[in-house]
Amino acid sequence: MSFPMQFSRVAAIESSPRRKPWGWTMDKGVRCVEEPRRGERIDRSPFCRPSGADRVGGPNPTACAVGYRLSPLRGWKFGLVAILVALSSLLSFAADAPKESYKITPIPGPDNVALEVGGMDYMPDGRLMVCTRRGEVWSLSGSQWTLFAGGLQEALGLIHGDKNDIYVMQRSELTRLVDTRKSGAADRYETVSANFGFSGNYHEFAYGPAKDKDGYLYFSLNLAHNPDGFGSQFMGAHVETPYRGWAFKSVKPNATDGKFEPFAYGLRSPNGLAASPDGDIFFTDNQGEWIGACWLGQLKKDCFYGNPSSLIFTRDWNHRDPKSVTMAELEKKKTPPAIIFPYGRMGQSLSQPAWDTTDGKFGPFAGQIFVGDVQHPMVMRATLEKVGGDWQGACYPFLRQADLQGANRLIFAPDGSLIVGLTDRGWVKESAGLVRVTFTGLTPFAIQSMSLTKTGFDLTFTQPIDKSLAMDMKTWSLLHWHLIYHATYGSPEADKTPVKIASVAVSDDGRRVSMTLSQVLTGKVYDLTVNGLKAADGSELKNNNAYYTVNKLQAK
Amino acid sequence: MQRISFISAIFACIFAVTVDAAQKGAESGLVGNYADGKRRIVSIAAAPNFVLKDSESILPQLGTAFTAEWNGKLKIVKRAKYTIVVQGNADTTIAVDGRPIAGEPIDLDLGDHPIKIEFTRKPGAARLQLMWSADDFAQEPVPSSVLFHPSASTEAAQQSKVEAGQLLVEELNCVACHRSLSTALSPRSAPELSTVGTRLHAAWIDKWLQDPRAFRPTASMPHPPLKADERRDIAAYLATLKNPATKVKEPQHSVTRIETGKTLFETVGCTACHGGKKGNSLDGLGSKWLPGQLADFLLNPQSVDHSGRMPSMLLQTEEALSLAEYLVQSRNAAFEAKPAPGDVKHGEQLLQSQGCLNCHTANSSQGQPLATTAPEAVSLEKLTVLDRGCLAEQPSGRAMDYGLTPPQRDLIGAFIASVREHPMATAAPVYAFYHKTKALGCINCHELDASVPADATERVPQLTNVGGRLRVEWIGEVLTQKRRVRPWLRRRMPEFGPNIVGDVPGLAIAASGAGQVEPLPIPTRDEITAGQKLLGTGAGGFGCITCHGFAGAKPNVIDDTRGPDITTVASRLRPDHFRRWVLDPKRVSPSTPMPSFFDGVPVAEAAARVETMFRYVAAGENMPPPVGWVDKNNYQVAIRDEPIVLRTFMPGSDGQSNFPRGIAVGLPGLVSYCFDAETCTLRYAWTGGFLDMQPSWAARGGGIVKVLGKRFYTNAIFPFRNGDFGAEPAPEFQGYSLVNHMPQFSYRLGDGEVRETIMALEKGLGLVRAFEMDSGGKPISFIAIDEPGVSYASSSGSFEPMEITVPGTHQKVPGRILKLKGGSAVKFSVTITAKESK
Repeated sequence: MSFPMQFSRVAAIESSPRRKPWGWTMDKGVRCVEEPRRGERIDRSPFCRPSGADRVGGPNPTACAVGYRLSPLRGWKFGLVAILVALSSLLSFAADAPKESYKITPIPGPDNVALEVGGMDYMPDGRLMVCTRRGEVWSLSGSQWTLFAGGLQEALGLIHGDKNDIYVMQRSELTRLVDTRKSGAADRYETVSANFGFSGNYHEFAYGPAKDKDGYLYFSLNLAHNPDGFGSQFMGAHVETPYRGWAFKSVKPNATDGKFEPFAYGLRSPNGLAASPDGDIFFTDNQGEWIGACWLGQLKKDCFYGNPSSLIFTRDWNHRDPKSVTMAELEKKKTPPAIIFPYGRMGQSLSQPAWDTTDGKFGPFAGQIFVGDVQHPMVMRATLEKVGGDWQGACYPFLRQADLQGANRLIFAPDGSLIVGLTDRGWVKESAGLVRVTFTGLTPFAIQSMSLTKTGFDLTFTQPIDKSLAMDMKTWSLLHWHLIYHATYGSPEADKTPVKIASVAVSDDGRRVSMTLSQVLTGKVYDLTVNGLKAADGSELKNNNAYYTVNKLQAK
Repeated sequence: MQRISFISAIFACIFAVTVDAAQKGAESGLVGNYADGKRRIVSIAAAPNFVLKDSESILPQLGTAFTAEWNGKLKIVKRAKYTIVVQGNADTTIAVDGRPIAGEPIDLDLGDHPIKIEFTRKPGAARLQLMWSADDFAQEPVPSSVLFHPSASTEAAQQSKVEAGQLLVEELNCVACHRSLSTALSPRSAPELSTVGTRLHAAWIDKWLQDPRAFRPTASMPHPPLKADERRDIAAYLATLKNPATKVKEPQHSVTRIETGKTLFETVGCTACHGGKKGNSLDGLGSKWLPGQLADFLLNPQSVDHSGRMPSMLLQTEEALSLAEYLVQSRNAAFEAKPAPGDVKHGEQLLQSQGCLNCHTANSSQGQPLATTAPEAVSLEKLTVLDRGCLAEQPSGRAMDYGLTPPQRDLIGAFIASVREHPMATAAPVYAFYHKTKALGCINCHELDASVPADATERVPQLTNVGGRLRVEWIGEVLTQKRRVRPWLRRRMPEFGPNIVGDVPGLAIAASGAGQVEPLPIPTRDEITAGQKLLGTGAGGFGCITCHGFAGAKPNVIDDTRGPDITTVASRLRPDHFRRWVLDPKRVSPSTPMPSFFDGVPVAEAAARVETMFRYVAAGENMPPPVGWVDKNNYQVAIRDEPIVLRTFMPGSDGQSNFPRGIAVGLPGLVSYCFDAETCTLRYAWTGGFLDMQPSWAARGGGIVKVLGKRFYTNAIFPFRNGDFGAEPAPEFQGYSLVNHMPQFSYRLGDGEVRETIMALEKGLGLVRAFEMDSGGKPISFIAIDEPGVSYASSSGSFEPMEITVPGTHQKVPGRILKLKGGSAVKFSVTITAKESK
């Protein structure tokens, strides 16, 4: 398949919960449409048609928007488009600077393949490896796709090995795939570990692997969609299928002896396991029973993260009646998550986190964490800081656009762009494929970070701000709330309380605002909305929310 | 396409000629002359076919021992040598042109040829099916369209009056009050009243009781002889019969729904019964129902009307709402009076005493069934004066006023006079089939013999010879289990439910005279391969998948399905019909869009190809896809030139627990197997298709996938033992290597290691398990349980018999053992050969 032009879309940084009117102009020439929302009608341009309406093969991820793809243009249409393209490129030179900070471009996938992305990693030689829910592993080199392996059981994660091998997490086992002949395709499928229970329940997903700074491997196991005695409505763990709700760590680096040991527990649906650039292991878990909202946390040995179903596999459990477990016992055991993502506003099913290691190639957020969401078409940001010896921090909206629907896996490419792997089958629709998010060079005016100080919070901005607006107390709305820890699915944002900001100070360079509060409480999410703040140059603030999870206070 | 239309046009002409001839002084069907010693009845039969059990007769008024003689004419439109025979009872005689024929071919010229068939029923089951064949077509049932008779038979006309009278007597449920000895009648019940107050309001009921025909001219509800206050009391009582649990929420009014509803009304088939001047009028429904209530009724009409006269149209909730919104647009002001208060208690008594409950059923608000207390009326057979009571011109006294026209009274009279002497008391399936297709309105949509529906805007399958074409099980599934294979039709086949359908599938078979269905063959791999080619789009293929769907997916080329799913053919069609149909579809149904693929092909060659196709489609759901088939969802994984390895949730062996860590391997040559990585054991092998991954790859997935094919080997046991035979070793799966796409499994066994490659047997059906192993310094044995239908052989040493304990049980079963010396490089193979059925 070939197109006379490469379509790309210019992404807007999300400005507010209001969604952009859909339908957009691409490079002034061709109008394309994104997927209609429920109840809305669209007029399709002759250049776009629903994917699937005109093909014989499988879903084709060369979509012009998620779910739509371009049909090849012929004859006079081609000519017309070519002229428009030429004109538009001239015009764009004339207009010079981009209007938006990030643009989203689909990456054409292999033909007739449902590229439902379960995992991604770069090989040392630069190939991007992508594993899928249908059990294939594809490698992308330039624009050339090669099938590296197939027949795996719902592959939801992969990391590269030393040279010609990768580790892939299947539902049933952790597998090392080796291309012994250097043919570009694996010919050895070595079982690394299958030492966990697996009954065939559809929700018994397995995630990972991730590798820490010393080379140890980790994976995590989803609970089954089958409730147990702990009061959950949907999910549970059962003795026949051991270690559901647990994360594992290899006994040796690279799991050379194939042995793993139970490492941390209390997980529900930990669809995101990744190593930070420092080699610490982090996970995201998904809202549900006992897990009041989606969250991100550091995976630490013997720590319990809240969902009690996994307790039955602790060493001293001794067939206890789950009903004998008290709330006090659980509260005491529980390790709080590092960052809580307010449910709905900040996603509903967090994906794997990815750290911006691009040193600014991806814009002003170097070192920060990017997280996708399987339910909402969005990518979010998060920042962590060590307070009292533990990580905690804040999350922020980043991009929200239909092209990002099903953002299940994220990875930064060597060129500094962010690759987003899509799948949401079974939960939203049948999103698949890859999209690339590129920084255009135009620094967005955004909250760069929110951090905890001894007296309140510091907000850092990506550009100097309008000081007079900043000094106006109406600019800042802060409140705090907490999640309720219970067996019920999810949690309301409880005890929402407005927080009075005692004073505000702006740094000399105009990039930092220090807020002083009368007191900061632990166990709360500080929920900030910025109203009408502008940059010194008059730019509008596009992301106006930040949510900081306070577990510990800065030592006075 | 032009060619097809041309052929259709020719056939249409021939058909038109046939109809014309039949209309000019001739009527379709043969004149049947039946007698049982006590009584003689002349009746028209579309064809002389029947299948009867011991206790059944040809007509319900005749005993089981009868003689039959059919007379009429055979229309010949092509001069040829015909062989006309009767299948079933041998003691049947046929005469054509006045000469008896005994199965020998006869030359028949263009034109009409007198035909006479005689049959004498002997005790026991009986069957008769008139068949013919000629040089250019294989044996087939003589189509009813070539059988006709001269009109003007007064005896036959009298019998049709009796039959029409029967329909009226049943529809009006005369026997609810006038008991009858005619046990073969199936009277229509009236709607359930238990929750009538939830649906209808008192004022409407009052008006309805006053004059049902003022609301619906065709109402079968009579005008009961009630006084105004009595009507009010009954209405007031009925309005109290409510089920609070079924309170319906009324939808928001929507103009779009009205439009959608109108389209639905005009397309799904409502008009087949509710259209035209003769149809049951739906005027004024807005004065009877609120849209939500009507929608609720439309979704499940039989919960109220057990008679099945209003079947379920398989509507979605939103469709039902749209249809209801459309229908309630029509109002009848006379039925919108203000409710008048009535005496509820008195109403309850009246409901029981006035005969309402002779036809209706109702529970009291306490849930107790209410019984009729009305005095019994004179039994039907004792009615000698046929212009009194309900049949009087002006019914009076206790008689009900049905608004009968003089011709209707005449038909009812003819029926009563006929059954007075000879009640309809014998089961007569052929008669019942034709009767029921009228009573349930089947012929309002479907063509049946000479009966053509008035509204034929969309072509739906014909019912002519339906029992000779479809399997009895399939007819049952269509009628009672919502099985449909023509998703492109806008017109919907309604759902009648098992109570109404009863033995209609059996009746259809009886009316066709069709014999036993031959068993389905189990196709060999060669036959499947040949079939894949024939039905496929490659060279030498007919491209069936261009129009027909496959395995639940739409066809490859035509955007919308135009032909039923090929994988349903084996469960739908009788094999004999499949052959006739594929050989020449337009002979069976002149207006079918299915083309003929064998024009000009020698008969024997065509038949051979059709047979290949048949043996392939006989695999049904297990069919591997035809050549060129592309599953747009890629759920059906087909094996082409290389082995495929797929780890997935595999189903267990014969209902045993599943294998979540299963590895399915499909080999070229239509042999596949399941290796269980949990226990390192070959679990089973099958031949045919490979896998339908839909349960694991669609929606949230994770379901047990579907194996497509026939299992030829099942194995319950891990094969290796060393030393102690009691203990089952615990092998540990190490993974696999691919050698030319072929997986070689590795597993650790104690201190040793095993590598196993499983290949398809080169000749015949079976597997070769090739092992390379390090036995860990011990002797080692390979054991196998004797499975039915397979035999074992080894490349080194020989198997000896041994009793084996089935794992997980204490059950001992016959098996065999192969003792091997062991060592660090043991190499051997075990061949498992299955008997491949032809």
